[in-house]
Order: sequence, then C-alpha cells, then structure tokens
Amino acid sequence: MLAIKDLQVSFSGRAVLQVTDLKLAGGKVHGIIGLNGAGKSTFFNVLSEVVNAEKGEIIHDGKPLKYPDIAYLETSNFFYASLTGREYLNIFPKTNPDFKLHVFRDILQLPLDQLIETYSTGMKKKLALLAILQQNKPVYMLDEPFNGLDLESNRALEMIMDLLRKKGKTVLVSAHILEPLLHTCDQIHLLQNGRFIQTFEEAAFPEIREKLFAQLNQDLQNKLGQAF
Amino acid sequence: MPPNLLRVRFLQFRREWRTLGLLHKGLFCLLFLTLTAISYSNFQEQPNCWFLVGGLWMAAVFTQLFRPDKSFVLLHLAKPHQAIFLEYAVISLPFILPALFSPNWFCLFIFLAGLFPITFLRTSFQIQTRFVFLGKILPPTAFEWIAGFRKNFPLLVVVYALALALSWVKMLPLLLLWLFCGIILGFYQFSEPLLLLRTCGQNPATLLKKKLLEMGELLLFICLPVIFLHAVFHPWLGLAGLAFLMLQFCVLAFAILLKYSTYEPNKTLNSNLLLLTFAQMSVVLPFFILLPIALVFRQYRKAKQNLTLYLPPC
Repeated sequence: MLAIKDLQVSFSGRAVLQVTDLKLAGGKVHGIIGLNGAGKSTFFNVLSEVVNAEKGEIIHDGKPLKYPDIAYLETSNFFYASLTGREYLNIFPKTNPDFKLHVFRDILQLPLDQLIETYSTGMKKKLALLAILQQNKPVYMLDEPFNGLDLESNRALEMIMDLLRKKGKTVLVSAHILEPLLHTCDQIHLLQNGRFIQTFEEAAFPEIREKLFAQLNQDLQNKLGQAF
Repeated sequence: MPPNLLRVRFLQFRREWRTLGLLHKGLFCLLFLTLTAISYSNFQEQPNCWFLVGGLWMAAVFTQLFRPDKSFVLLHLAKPHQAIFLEYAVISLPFILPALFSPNWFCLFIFLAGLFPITFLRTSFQIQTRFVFLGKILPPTAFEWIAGFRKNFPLLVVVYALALALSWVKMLPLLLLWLFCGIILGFYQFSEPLLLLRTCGQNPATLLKKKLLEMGELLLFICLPVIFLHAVFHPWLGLAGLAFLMLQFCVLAFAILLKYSTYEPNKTLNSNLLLLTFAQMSVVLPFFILLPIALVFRQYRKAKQNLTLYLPPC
C-alpha cells in the first residue's frame, strides 16, 4: 500500500500539487490522468525525490518511500551519447532474476548493439523501459510510457504491466491518451489543478471521459466558434 | 534569407555567454585575444600564412561534412550556400582579418574565395556503431570512458602508439601522454541522466569515491606502460614520470569533481571547458604545478554539496 498524506509542492510560491489523502493499493496498476499541467509529472517527480515536497509524507508498506524503492520511467528519456543500447543497459544492476534480455530484445525489436543516437523516439522509450524492468523494485512509475510506441510495442507494454501486477508490484502509469489506461488499470485517479478529485474503479471507467473533458469541451467549443 | 543562420548563431552565442561567470568571460576573452594575436603574427611571414589559411579551410571542411543541420539548411533556407558561406566567414573573421594588417593581406581574399566551394559539399557521414568491444573491456559504469574512447578512438590510438613507439625520446612520451589525458578531460563534459547517476552511487561520497577510484585505475593502466618504458630508456627521469602521473591524476580528479559540482541532469557542461584547459596546462607549467592539487580539495566539497540535491539520504 502506498499512502500519501498532506503532500504539498509549490513552484515560485504557487501550489502545483496538493494531495490530502491518497491510498494506492499494492499489487495493482494505477492510472494517473489529468489534462496538460494538472500535475502528473510533478506527482511522479515528488515520489521519486526529483522534486522536494514542502510538506507531507509518502509511506510505502509502513516505511517512508525512498527513491531506491522506485523504478521510474520518465516522460522524456535522455541518454549518454556514444553508447550502444546494450552498454547503456549494462550500467544498471540486473536485480530482477526473471529478466531475460534476449527475449525482450526480440519482443521489442531493439537493435541493442547500435548507438542510441540512431534510435527512434519509440526505440529510446523501449530501451529506457528495459533499464527499469531489469531492476527488481516494489514500485514502478511509468510517466507516459505509450508515447512514440508502435502498435506491437504498445500491446507488449500493456502485457508487461499486467505481468508486473501478477508479480505483486505496484504500478503507477500516466498517459496523454485515455484508451490504453482503460485496458490496463485497476483504478484510475483523476488529477485536476494539482489535486486528486476522484478515483474510478474499473466499472466506472466509462464515466472518466465525460468527467475529464467536461470543462474543456465547453471552453474549446467557445474558442473554436471564434476561430472559424 | 542568408542572415537568418547568422542570427541563430548570434542568439546561441548570446545564450551561452549569459551562462558564463565573470571569470569564464575573462578567460574566454583572453583566449580569444591570444588566438587573434597568434594569427596576426603568423600572417606576417610566409609560409606560415598559408598554413593558417589551410587550417581554416580544413576546419570549414570538417564542419561542413559533420554539421547535423545541413539537410535542414539546404531544404528550408533561401540561398543556403550563401547563408553557410556567411556563417563560416563571420566565424573565421577574428582569425583571418589580421591578414589585412600584414604584408600578406591577399590571404584574406584567397581564403574567402576558397571558402565558398566548401559550402557545396553535401556528403554527410552516418553515425556508425564502432568499437563495440569497448563495452566489453571497460567496466559499464565507466560509461564516460566508453563513450569518449568511441568518439576519439583513432586520435587516441595514434597518440598512444606514438607515445609507446617514441619512448626512447627524452620527455616526448610524457608530452604525448599529456595530450592523451587532455582528450580524456573532454569525457567529463556531459551530465548523465538522473537515473544513471542514482545507479552509480546512493550518496555523494560513495559516488565520488567510486568515480575517482575507477578513473585512477584506468589512468594507471594506460599511463604505466609508457612511463615504465620511458624510465627504462631514461632512468634518471623515472621520478618525473611518477610526478607526471600524480599531477595528471589530480587534474582528472578535478575534471570529475568539477563535473559533479556543476551537475544538472542531461546538461552539457560547456562552460567547464576553460577551467579544464587551465588545469591541464598546469601540469606542464612549472609555476602552476600545485594548482591541480589545490583545485581538487576545493572542488570536492562543492561536488558533494551539489550532489546532495540529486542523491538525498535514503
């Protein structure tokens, strides 16, 4: 169980994230959705201690959550230049005993002996994903992992998340597109203006779209009416 | 429009300039004036003026062959060749303009005439995966060395082979090793992603210790054969070799500590280059010989402090 209480993050005096009380059940896949600027990446960055919270606590299984407990796939993936994919992966500890690189290489079709700068966006995303999958961590955070992936890799990623769930890992995943989250998550948490306003169970997933776009639809309609 | 490319370069330069501190700005101006003065003095006599013109042409050819924005410029700019020509001409100006104040003033016009055809070179080199074995012989956590060796492999091999082959010449092998280590300093100009940093060490002290020891081992492995051979041919210079090794270790340690004291994830640390150049120069300048040691002590505390931001205590 991941419990977040009274968490607050501000940038230049403006509160960008306020989580009063959020409990994320362990061994489940949790979707984090919200419109642009809602605070999804900030939420992930606070959990992985990239950004410091002003106050609040994040407890995982009774202990404060620390960055070594987390495997974090960032939205934008940066790599050290002039390394091959295999050399990059070798830097990370292989603590996951079930991880078979050659199988993943075939599934994700990655040319591991080529320089990373020759990779496409999707290939870079897949390489970064492999780097975190080869590590055995209790919490996996995937910030927009579907960006740039081809259809096959998209499906593979959905199945990987399912596998992580079966292994008892807690998975937090965000996406700009709602569709893949509906297939993979046990719960989806709606983030609006830095606050979690609602949690949807699987049965209530069809309502998310309406709730998420309620305000936006009206605004867009007005603006588009002026534009054309 | 031709001026667009120059404007882009101007904006890039201005942005970089603003990131520099007062000391770096001063050092940059000093270096710039020195290079201009060197070119002025070389233009005074032949054949030096021709070497300078040839060198500038070569620099333009290499830039043209390897510039990553070539397709973009050729596709989207009106009169792309003029734009590239203007860019090269303006950048070369500080080094070619002194020709006007010399008896060989015509070099300026010959240089400009030779520069224009270079802009028509359309050949590009694809990035190729070379030297895959480097990842097998170097430890994975020494990724700076793997990447750096891959980028500079031919040059490093030539310099090192010369150092070994000429070990019977007094002091020359040490000078070549110094050049070799100067190239290695450039390996520490890129900040790795946070994920990599956190993989390499869980607190600042551990990370720095690991990096310094790893570098020390590699440096020893590379330098010892040359120093040993040089000492065989010149036993009375054996101690000079060891002193060189110690100083070089200090300079490389300084490079690592400087990198981590200015570390920001995914950032290229261009502004460190000048300080690194000075540190490397201090190895061969007798009156600066204690500078590397002083720099290491000063920078260690700064590096630890900066890394605390990215490696909070667990």
